Amino acid sequence: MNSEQEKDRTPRRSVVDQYTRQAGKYARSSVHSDARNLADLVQFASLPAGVSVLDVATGTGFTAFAFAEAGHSVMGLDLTSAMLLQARKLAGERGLESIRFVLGRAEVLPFAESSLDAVTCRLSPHHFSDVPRFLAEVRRVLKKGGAVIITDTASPDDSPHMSEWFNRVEVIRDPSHNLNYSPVQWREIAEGAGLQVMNVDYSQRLSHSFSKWVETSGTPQERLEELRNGFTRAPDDVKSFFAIEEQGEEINFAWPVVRMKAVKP
Amino acid sequence: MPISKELLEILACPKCKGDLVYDEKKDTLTCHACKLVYLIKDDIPVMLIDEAIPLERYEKGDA
Repeated sequence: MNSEQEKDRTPRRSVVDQYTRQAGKYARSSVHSDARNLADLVQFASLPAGVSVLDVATGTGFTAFAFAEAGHSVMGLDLTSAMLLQARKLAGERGLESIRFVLGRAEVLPFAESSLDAVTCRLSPHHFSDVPRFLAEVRRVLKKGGAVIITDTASPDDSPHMSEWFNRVEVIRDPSHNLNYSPVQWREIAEGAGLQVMNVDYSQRLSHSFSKWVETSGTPQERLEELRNGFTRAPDDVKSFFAIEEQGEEINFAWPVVRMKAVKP
Repeated sequence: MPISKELLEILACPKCKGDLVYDEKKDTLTCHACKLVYLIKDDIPVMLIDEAIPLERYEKGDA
C-alpha cells in the first residue's frame, strides 16, 4: 500500500475519540451555536437561493442548520457518528428533518464530481490532517462556479511566535488539534487547489472563557494547570493580540477567525 | 427510512469516486468497481473505505 492509499484508509483516531466522548458538550456549545455568528456566515457566503450545500465536518450540525434555515438544500458530513446522531436529533428539534447526514472524511469526500453548488466548513479544518487535499476534494465535488466557504480559528500572518503559542495551547487543550492556518496560508492552499479566492476576511473574533472552553473539550484535570499557565505567563504581545484578561479565577480571551470564500472557476 | 433520491444521485465511492448501487432491502451501497459494500447505519451512510466490507465476503454472509 502506498502512502496516499494509507492516508485514505486511516481515519484520525484522535479526532474520532475526542468527538465521540465530547459530542454532548458540543451539542450545547454556545460558541458553536452562536446565532449572530452563523447569520454573519450565511451573509458572508451570499449563496444564490435554494442551492445544494455540503457542510463538511458538520459536527453537531449548527452550520448545516443555519444554511438549511436560509432555504438551502443541506447535507452534513462528519467523521464521528456520535456527532452526527446529536446533529440529527437537534435537526429534528428544529424541524429540519430534510438535512441528510453522511459519515465520511473531509479529505476523501464520498461525492461525485461536479455534484454540489456549495461547500461550507466551519471551525474544524484545524483538525484536518491534510488541508490541501481537503480543498482539492472540494474543487472536485463543486460544480463550475460553485463556492466554498471556510471559517476557522487562524494564526496571524508573519508572526511565528504568536502562531506557535496559539497552536501549542490548542494542542494541550485538545490533542486532536492539528494547525491554525493564517489568512495568507488559506489563500495559498485554495489557489494551489485550483480555486479562485474571492474574499479573505480576518476581522472576526470568537470570545471564549477558559472554564467553558476546557469543559467543551473535556481537557483532563492534569493538563489544566499547564494550560492555564500558558495563558497567564504568555508574553505581553500575545496577551494583547489574543485579548487575554484574567478575572479572578476566570481567563477571558478571543480567538481570531478567518473567513474565506473561493469559487471553482 | 430509505435514503433520499437527491443524496443517492450524488453519493460516490470514496475510493474510486464512481457510482454506487443502492440496495434498499439490505440498506447498503455497493461499488462494483472496487468490490466494496458500504453499510447504512441509523439511516446514515458510512462512507469510510476502512469500514466498507469486501463484496465477496458480504455475499458469503459472514460480514
